[in-house]
Amino acid sequence: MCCIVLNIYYFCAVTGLNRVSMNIDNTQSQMRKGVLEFCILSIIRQGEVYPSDIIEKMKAAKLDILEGTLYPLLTRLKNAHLLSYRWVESNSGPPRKYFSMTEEGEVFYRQLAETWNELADAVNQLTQPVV
Amino acid sequence: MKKIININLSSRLIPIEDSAYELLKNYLDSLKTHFAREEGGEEIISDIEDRIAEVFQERLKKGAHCITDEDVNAMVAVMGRPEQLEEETATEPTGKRPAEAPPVSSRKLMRNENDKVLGGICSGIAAYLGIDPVVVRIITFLLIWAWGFGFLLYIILWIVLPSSRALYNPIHKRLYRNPDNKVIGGVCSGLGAYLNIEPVIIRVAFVLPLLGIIFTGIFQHWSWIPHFFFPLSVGFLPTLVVLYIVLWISIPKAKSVTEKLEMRGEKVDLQSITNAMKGTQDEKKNDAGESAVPDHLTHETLPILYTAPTGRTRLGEVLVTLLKFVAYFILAVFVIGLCVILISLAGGFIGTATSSSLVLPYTGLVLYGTTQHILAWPAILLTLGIPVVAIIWLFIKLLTGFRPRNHWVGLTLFLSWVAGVICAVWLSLSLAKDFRTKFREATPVAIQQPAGAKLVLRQQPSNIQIGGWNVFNHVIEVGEDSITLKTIRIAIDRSPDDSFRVEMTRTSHGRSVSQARMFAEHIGLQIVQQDSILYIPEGFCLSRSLPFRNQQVVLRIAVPQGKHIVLDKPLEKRRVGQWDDWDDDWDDWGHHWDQKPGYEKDYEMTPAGLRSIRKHPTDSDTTAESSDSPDSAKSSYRYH
Repeated sequence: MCCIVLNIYYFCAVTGLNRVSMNIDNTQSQMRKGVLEFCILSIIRQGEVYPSDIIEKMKAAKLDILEGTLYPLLTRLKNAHLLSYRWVESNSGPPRKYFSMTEEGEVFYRQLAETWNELADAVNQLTQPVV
Repeated sequence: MKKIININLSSRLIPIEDSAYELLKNYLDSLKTHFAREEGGEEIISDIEDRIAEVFQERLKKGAHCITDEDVNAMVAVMGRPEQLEEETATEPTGKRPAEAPPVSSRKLMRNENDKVLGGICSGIAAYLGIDPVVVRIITFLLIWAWGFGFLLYIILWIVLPSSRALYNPIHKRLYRNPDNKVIGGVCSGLGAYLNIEPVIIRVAFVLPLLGIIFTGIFQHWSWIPHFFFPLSVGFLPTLVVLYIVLWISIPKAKSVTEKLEMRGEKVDLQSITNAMKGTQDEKKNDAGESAVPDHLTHETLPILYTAPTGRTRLGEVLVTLLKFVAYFILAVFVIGLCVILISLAGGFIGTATSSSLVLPYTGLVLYGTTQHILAWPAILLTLGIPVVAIIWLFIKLLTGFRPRNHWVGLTLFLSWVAGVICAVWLSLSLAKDFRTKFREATPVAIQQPAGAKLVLRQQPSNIQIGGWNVFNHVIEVGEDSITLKTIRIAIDRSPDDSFRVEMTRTSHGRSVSQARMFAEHIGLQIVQQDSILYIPEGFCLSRSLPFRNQQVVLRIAVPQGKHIVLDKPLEKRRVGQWDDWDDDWDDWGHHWDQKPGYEKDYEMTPAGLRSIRKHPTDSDTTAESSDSPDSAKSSYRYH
């Protein structure tokens, strides 16, 4: 979980200090990436899903990511015991991995959510023009 | 012009252009190198391949003939090149993730939204306790069934508990109903898989009380056996039926391959699922009798084997199951009823037949001649025995799930049964012919004239052993080696002169006059006279070699006018004209009569006809009564 926080602080620092010199694409992708884990966990938390579902939901929410980043992330989260998966055969092809959250993942998620809320408040507060 | 090749990407058949294939291969190889150093790299690659295959298949379904360069390039753009991925992931400090996650927090009791029938409460409790939700469901159902408060508890928990989608139940083995190996609902088979024992054992345990009832029917001739089976069958049957219904409703059916693997407690991973599916497919292939299927076709047919998700909810399933059960129940009642009737019929016969002392007189009583004897055994054994064998065969088939490929057993049984029925019909016709002709022969019996004006007729006390086998309410008594027919009747006439006369008329049926005459002449009836008393035997014996062909004897007593004839009660009951009462409660009368050997009926032959004079042993006065008045005496015998 530290990594996310670090990431976010990192990107805040980068955007804050080197706004002009930074590549705008890179910055946007960094911002997205920072919340990617949080978003994925949120989706999985709502019920068992398989990776393509996650992609669909993210696309629906206009959160475009490179699909290639999702799979390593899922594998890492799984290796950290935050997620578990089971094989379920589908009606349209080979079996699929269905991911669900573990107890640890739930705890992890709550901490992330807390951080996110604080951060969102902070960012909102900072970005709103002072009346 | 481009060559199109078929590739197997993640178990999917993808037709792809030659050049596109090269592109794809290069891309995947670059990814492989990229993720090679990462933990779980192979898994990531296979996930990505899976996704690519899925997207390609979507594309093919939408009408594309094959995958082209553009498709691959578009895919790569969406998925990201290794460099881009590097960019995305490099900034992430690896290894900083806490190796051991926070300790498993105190588990909370919540409703499980992921796996629910009604409110997900049972499933939540199961996740809390780390056991199979089905077990909790069964216990809950039984609680609600037995005591209503289970329902209240359920409602309260539903209101109180928060719901969660994040509950994870770590058990690997779950209780399912097995649809592949089922007799009714697959409950026994699923239980067998769960407990790791043969389903047959569980089936037998369920069926045992039923068998108990059937055997009670079969062995009702031996009195001690019903006592042994009765509590077993009557006590357990409703419980087991209820239990079966409960299990049927609570336990989900293992529809998908994953669920079937979980049912057997096997690890659910890609390998095992693939293996399981291959197994199913091989079976199907064998069933269809196909020999070899090209490899790519195998992959193409794979998706057909996946079970389609049903739109029904669990609650709907429960209702459908209940309806099904009602249907099965009605069917079962019919079938079981039929079975019980047939089996007890056959069992009753076999029970009788096995006590061999009764068999010979029994067949001898009915059958006469070689044809009939030859026909009798196949007729009886086949018509009654074949259904029993068929039912047993059916039971074995149901219990073991054995499905024979050819139908020779069924055909053999049916043909044998038909043969048995033909024999039976033939035998019946042959027997009917044996009763076609009637022969009657009257022979005078020489008696000494009684000293007084009175002839007394008494029934000779029976010296035939009691406890044989009685037919037609004791009219025919089958003993160890002989048959006694009690078809002796007495008729009283007016004598033309002033002496008593006795005439014996022997009657018999037969196939021909000569045969009927032979049977009639074989009736041996010995009348013993002692002073003025004639002792008439209770019945006459048929030797073992002669059958029953409705042999009858009428003793015609001619009484001179003004003289008396006295009949004791048994003989009075046999008097012609008393036949209305004859089969009514014949043995009852005789029984009481034996105990009170004083009652006699006195008749006097008057010019107007026979007149009855009632004589009581207590008072010697004679009172005239009408001939049909022994009712008062009858009732006094009965009710004292």
